[in-house]
Amino acid sequence: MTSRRLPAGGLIDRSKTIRFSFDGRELSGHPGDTLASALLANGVRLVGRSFKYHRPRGIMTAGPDEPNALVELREGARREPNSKATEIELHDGLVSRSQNRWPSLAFDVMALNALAGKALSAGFYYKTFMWPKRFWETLYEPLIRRAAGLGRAATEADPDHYEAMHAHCDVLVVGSGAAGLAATRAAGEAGARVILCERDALVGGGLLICPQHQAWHAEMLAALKALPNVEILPRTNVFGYYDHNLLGGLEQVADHRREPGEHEVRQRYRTFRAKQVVLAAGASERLIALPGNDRPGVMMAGAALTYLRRFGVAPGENVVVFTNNDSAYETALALAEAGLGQVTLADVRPQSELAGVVAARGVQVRLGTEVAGFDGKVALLRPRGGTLGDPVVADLLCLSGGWNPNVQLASQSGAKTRWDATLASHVPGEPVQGERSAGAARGLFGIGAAAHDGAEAGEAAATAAGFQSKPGFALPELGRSEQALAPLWEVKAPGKSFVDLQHDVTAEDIRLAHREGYAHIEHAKRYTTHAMATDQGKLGSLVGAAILAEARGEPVEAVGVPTHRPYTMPVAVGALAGHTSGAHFQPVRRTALHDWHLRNGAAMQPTGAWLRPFYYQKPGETGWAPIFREARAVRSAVGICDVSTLGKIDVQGPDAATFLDRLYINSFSTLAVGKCRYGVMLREDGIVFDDGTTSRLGDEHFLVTTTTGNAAPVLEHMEFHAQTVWPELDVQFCSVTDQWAQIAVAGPKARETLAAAVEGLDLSNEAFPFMGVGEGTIAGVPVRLFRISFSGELAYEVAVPSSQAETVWEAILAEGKPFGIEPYGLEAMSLMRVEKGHAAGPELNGQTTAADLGMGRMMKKAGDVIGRVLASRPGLADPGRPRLVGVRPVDPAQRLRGGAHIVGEPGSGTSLGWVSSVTQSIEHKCWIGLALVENGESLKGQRLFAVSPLHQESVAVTITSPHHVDPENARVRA
Amino acid sequence: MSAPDRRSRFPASQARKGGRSGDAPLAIVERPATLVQVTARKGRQAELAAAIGKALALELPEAGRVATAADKTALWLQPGSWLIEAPAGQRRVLPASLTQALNGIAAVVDQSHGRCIIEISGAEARAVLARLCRLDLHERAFAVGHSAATLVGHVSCLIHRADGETTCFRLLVGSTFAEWLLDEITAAAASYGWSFNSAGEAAA
Repeated sequence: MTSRRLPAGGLIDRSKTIRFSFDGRELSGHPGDTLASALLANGVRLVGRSFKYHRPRGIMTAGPDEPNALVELREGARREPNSKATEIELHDGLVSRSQNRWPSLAFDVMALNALAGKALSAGFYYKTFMWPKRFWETLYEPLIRRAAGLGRAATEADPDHYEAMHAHCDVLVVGSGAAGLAATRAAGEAGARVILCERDALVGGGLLICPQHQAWHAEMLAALKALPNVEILPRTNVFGYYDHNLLGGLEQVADHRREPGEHEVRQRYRTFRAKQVVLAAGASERLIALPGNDRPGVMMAGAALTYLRRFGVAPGENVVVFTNNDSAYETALALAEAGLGQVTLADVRPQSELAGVVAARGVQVRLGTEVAGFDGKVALLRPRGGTLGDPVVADLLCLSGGWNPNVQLASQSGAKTRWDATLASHVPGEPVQGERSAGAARGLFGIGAAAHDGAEAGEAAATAAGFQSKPGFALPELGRSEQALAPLWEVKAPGKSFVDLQHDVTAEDIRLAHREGYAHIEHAKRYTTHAMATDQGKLGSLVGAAILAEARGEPVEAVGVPTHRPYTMPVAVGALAGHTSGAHFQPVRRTALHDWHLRNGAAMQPTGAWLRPFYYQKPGETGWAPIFREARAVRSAVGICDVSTLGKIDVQGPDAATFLDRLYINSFSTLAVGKCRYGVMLREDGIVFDDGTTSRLGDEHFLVTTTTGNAAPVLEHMEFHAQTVWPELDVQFCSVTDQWAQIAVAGPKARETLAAAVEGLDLSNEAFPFMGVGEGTIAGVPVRLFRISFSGELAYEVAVPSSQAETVWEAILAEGKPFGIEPYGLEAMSLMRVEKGHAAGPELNGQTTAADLGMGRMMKKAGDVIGRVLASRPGLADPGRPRLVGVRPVDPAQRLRGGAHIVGEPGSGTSLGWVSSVTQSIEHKCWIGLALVENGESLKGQRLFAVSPLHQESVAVTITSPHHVDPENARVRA
Repeated sequence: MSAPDRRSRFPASQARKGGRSGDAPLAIVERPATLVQVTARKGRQAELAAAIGKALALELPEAGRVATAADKTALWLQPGSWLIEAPAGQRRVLPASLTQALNGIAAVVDQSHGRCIIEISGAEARAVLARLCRLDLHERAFAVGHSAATLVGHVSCLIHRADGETTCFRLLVGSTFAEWLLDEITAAAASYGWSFNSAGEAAA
């Protein structure tokens, strides 16, 4: 393969060589190359196989509209499929592989599909693989997936890091061509905060291939660099335009390197909140449907010019340029001037003002001529509409069917596109958000016209954002006005004429869709998969629409194109997830004692956002051993537990008691200062919402505790009612969950332990009885004590300002040492609460009433309470509802399972209820559980069965009181 | 007996610096403080403002603002509610004295241990926050004295811009979220580098 690199020219650094590989071949290029330009420079013509027919394909474009040159980039965990070679900046050590070929790119067995082309028409999969049904999963789908898959995704975890970044600006400019640069400078010099996003690594857009405007380009860049209020983001594609002028973008921070540097992200997801937006995203050249328009050697005319001028690469030798407009003349001229081979220009228009100019420089111009076929070696030229063609030897066929303004973002913003008959394309319509398009993006072509339009757009955007000043910089002169193009969508001749190269959709497929009833553009799109590939049909979407329009006998503008939706270019999910993965997936809440727990062997367990000690494992302990040890310590001596996660709400004000009376089913206005009381609150619909103890600290001062999980919902519930339902109440409340750490000290030796630690409070049963609240100090730290119990033992909770938690915890541990104090975790706590029969999460499940949980008598006789009315609905007041009971296996050796159904007889299909919580009881030395069972109250003492069909288990159980331990509640009052 | 006032929310093992060694690392400092939340009783807001003015020579700011006088700062929290910030040494004194001064006028709640103040400063402070927070924190939009209650690193924070030569933001976060937030900040600052100073301990 011969080098196609021209001896000079291009924005590449010829002094440095970069080594890379393609399909295992070691090749080289220069800094400034893309993978595509380097492949072309190395004479690589065949870069991939097509999706359905496995036809050989070559590089077609020089940008994001590339349908063919998709590669697997990098290896191992960093392997990225479907990467566009035209968008990959060449870097040292780059490894790439072609896709969709087997066993090799040159010889591909699936290419036989092309021979069966007629059978593989639009809707083929829908029509063919319908029968027999069972073959779909086992045979058809795996086969189709192997045959039609694009690249292979990496199977290992992504080693790279991503992040999100949120920006605000007065003016966001998308695209840095002449229009974008002028808009940025105009708005920037007016004083606005401007962000300029450029998809490419280089800022300049079309200026990069216009050597005559180099000086202006350089002057603009220098001026923008000097403006502190202007930020330029290269390698940043703006992919979506959402409501309220919110735009999304992707910055490819390190994709141009082999791997990101230390502490560097690979990609950065960006959001932009802009007062005004200038869309200067340029235009894309469109395809012409003709037989063989997908052959290696077919290239868009603008892309060919880019390879010549930006990369110093000759994309071919003998060239046919086929056009319906003026723009391709520059390509023909540049190719001729490069002095490679014969350049023939076929223009379908009968006349051209430029014909003489290019002919004088050696281009053979054939007017009124069309290309009726190309096979990679020869192009068939014939008079427009004729039948006989004459072959012209060509290794490169350049196509230009006109230019489509890149209206995607304007369209996403809500602005309807408008048909422009002169351009035979859509242009942005009336804005509905704060945006305007400029330059080629609204159909104004040529550097001069774009620059003038951009300057005006930038000035207008700045004015709309509140900044006023006239731009005072020089602009390039306006160029000559172009001759109108002649709309041309298809050259009809035998053979496959593609409208979507990546998805292998032909003009005939579109007509077939129409014949089969898919006449709407959105239906035809889905039936044929036209414009649904990773290039989003940038080349041929409108061509397909025009062919559909012809089939329908209507003008193109009546057919339209499918809706533009984000993303304008594919975005990796990793970038959208950003930093929010792994340990950073969701916030973690740590109590003030977290570090102590870690230092003392705690196995931490996530409970909601919190991390809580599950148990404290000692050397040699396995299974339930640490849990039993901890629970036994509490039942026989004393244990200490971090209960800081309970929600705590400080409630004050003259109406605080009234407020709580309305929230809870029981009364708090009758609670004495210095006492606490257990309370239950309902949802508006009568179902239990939350429970906890509330203490009265003063006449107008209460401290409410909530369950860990409901801390925030209860506060919201209070806010909602205080603000909207009872605004007349004088009550103030706020969360103090984080202010106070809370420590439970439980067990028969709890009093002796605490009495030794606490100063300033008499803990004797007479002075500080069950449900008492008092204040004292421990280790000099002021603490609040509550005599409450969750375990069922004599117990206290100590509230301590959270910064001092460890001091107080250690002091209590020291005093408890003679009694054998043990810290206990969530599992031991749960074991003991099931033994004691306290309802918790599995019972407060959003389906149970207070009566279901045996707390029906707590409902006060008088006064309105949230949930009272709806709790009296017949369905909720039904005495037959599942009630909270205890269950124990008849054979103590058998285990119980949470979720098991309670039935009357083994094998019965009638469920009477379910087992909600289970544990291994240290008091009963067997599995015990809590269950919600219909008519549970009347079934106590009866033998029923707990069945778990999942485990094929049926266990005979006795229904008991839920209070497996100390049903008289004597221990807590000891 | 009086225990030392452990003021830091962070374990002693917390790393002191990290990220790339650049020219403008982010300085992260934990600032211990006395924090007292005052919420006016119904219809007593004017009296509250007057009483605070008298007791602390401090003007209660309007929504979205903070006001500073001498060693005290008032931060607007929600309608009728402010957070009064004073040096950490006043933790044992200020809540009690305010409770007395505002008796019948406002609910007074000590939050000194319930909130952690993390101060971040440096040339790239705003760029770091742009990775964690969706608000516009540019000085044109968020000047000294402005504050906002918002999500930073996915957790609820009260953020305000502090006065000074280098860009400096102060974040008030629920103390049980402090370690999480520090992790988020150091990760967001990794490409610039960062240093961290915890509050440590002080005698009571």
